[in-house]
Amino acid sequence: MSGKQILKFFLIACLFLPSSLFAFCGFYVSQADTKLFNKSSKVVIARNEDRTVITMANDYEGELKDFAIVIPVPVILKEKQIHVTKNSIIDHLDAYTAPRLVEYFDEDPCQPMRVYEFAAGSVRKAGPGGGARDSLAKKLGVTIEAEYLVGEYDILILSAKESNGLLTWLNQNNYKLPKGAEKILGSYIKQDTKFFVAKVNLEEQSKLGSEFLRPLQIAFESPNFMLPIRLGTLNANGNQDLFVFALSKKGRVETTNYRTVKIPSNMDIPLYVKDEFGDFYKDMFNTLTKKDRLSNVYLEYAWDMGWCDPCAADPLPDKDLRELGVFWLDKFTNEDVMPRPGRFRRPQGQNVYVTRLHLRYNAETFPEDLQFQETSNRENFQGRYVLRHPWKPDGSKKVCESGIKYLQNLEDRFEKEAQTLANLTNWDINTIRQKMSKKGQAKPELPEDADGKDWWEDLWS
Amino acid sequence: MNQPSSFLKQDPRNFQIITLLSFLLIGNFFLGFDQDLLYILAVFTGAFSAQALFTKLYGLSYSWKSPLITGCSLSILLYSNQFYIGLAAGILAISSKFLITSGKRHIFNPANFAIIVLLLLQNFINYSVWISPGQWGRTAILIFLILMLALAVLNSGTLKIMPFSFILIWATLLFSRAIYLGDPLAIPLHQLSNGALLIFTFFMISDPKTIPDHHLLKVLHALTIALLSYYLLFEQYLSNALFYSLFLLSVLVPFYNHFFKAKHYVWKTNS
Repeated sequence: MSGKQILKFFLIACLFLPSSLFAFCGFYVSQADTKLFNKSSKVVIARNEDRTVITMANDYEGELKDFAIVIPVPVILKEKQIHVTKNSIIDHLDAYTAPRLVEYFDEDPCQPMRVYEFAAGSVRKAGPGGGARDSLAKKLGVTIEAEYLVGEYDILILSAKESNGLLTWLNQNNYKLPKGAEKILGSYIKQDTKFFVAKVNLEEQSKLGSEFLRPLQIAFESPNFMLPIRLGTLNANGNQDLFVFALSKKGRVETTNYRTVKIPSNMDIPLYVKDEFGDFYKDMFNTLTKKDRLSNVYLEYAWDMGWCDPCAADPLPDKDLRELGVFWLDKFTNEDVMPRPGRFRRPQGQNVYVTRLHLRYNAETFPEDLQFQETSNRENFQGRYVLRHPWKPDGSKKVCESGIKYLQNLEDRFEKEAQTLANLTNWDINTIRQKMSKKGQAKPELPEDADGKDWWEDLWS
Repeated sequence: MNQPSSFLKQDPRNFQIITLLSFLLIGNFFLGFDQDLLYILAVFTGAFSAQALFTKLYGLSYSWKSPLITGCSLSILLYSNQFYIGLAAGILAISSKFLITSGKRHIFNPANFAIIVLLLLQNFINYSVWISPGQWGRTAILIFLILMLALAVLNSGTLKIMPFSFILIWATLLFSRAIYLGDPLAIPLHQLSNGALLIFTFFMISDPKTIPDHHLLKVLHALTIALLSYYLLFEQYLSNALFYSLFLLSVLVPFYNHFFKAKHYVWKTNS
């Protein structure tokens, strides 16, 4: 990156991103180097009634001195309303809510049924996650309402009379905004919005000894349940992915000005996808958004925070939920609760409901900021994909009649799985069939004695 | 000549029923409205049985069109994962038509009444109910245009005044706001592309029984609903502003009709 005074804005909801300068966060599967969704941002919103806490995850990887963000906020924030937290908490929430792969093993059809289920893995994210200036600001109609040092960030809260002055001030102070920002700033100013701008304080950052920036958090009261994404759409580098994790008390959160659609879920897919689950999910999402012309918000997870089944990761402990702004939780910890493998249930209801929304947006398909509402819908939903391992006769015993039927039906089942996968991901069906057959998912061989014999032939022999 | 259009013109409710039933099917099969079948059945059961009960009590002839229209509107707009809420919605809607009246006319649009009562009661009793206004996506704007065209061709002048004046005023407010804020026109267009707004405009405030008889007052009624909705939505950030506004302002309609007499609309057929 050049030392020019190019400004970088990473925007979650709110920040500007010349994205080539960033290595974005994403989700990863198993190996940390398999990047899934680049150009993505993550926002956690904890909200009950008008009280709102927003956490913005920030995987900025450029030079720290060039880091800058601009976030429209509804009120002037006091110092105690701003906080920094750990990346690991958001990574944990990401892992807990991630779409998951589950595995089943078919039982011997000649024996009574038993069911096993466990999580085979999940799509998860890796990694940790002055005086002259003031008078100039005044001339431009910009007021510096407050100035704080919080963690490694130098933060200013600005209000402005008109967009042109604000734009000039931001540009002079090295917050270089993309083209088209003036109109959007103007719109926010007329709606009496304030601006939260932050840069990294290099001295403080060096004391931390970490190269990663920690997530910024803001707490405020506003009747307007929204997330400003308009500044983010100015980015010329195409579509961006945004993950919103909403923590609410009553139930599911959805967008009121865009469709919220469940991602395809609970589908049987071929066994070999276990090794390429990340690619599977990425291509499925690409296919889905292309088909819907980037017009929807997708629901990836909606669940009571008290439990999960199967668990991609354990539910977050109360202290982490409080850290993310779930202020309505009592101050006690639940760390003595032992998770069982695969499933987890807390002894009592927690009144914390998590909704994970994923959208891919640009200025054309998402012209308006996201407006949300909390509904009383507590129906659980998860992105869940199923691998079914077929039963294999062990050769030593004769296969019973229902066993033969089972084997005869397998071919159709494999073909159906192949079709499902091709439809979801737009992958080539022939490649899918080849890969399946390598994994043993091809036409099964029927036992020799199965041919043409009727059930009564061995009855009295 | 027995053309399909004459069937539609015969009774404006025929047009409403066909459109609403198509929405219910399209919404659930193609737009992922994701309503539970049991819930939808419960809504209709509630509406039809309340209609049967009250027509019997009042000694009236049974009309199946009204509970069908109300049932469709409720099934499209109101969500719940408890089927008994559907039953309650149907019963509340139709009961309000018979019980909350002024001079033999009901005051509230039945579906609107049930929606508001159930949304408000939720603050006191524990059950789940909500409206998902965003679920139509971009299809809404297209359907809007088709419906406006259909309405212009098919319906009598009296029935057109309310929906057309409301949508014109509402669109003017949204576009003026965008121009004032310097926003791109894509924003008000996107705001107009809203399924709840669509049902509201064509199937709720167009209900001739619950709006003023006098044509000028219809326009005034549309204007006040639009202004109150605008205030509730953009100043108070209330997500179901339209429904609350209609509910609140419906109370004024009996006064309008008392002081400004005009010919009252009567459904053409009484089936």
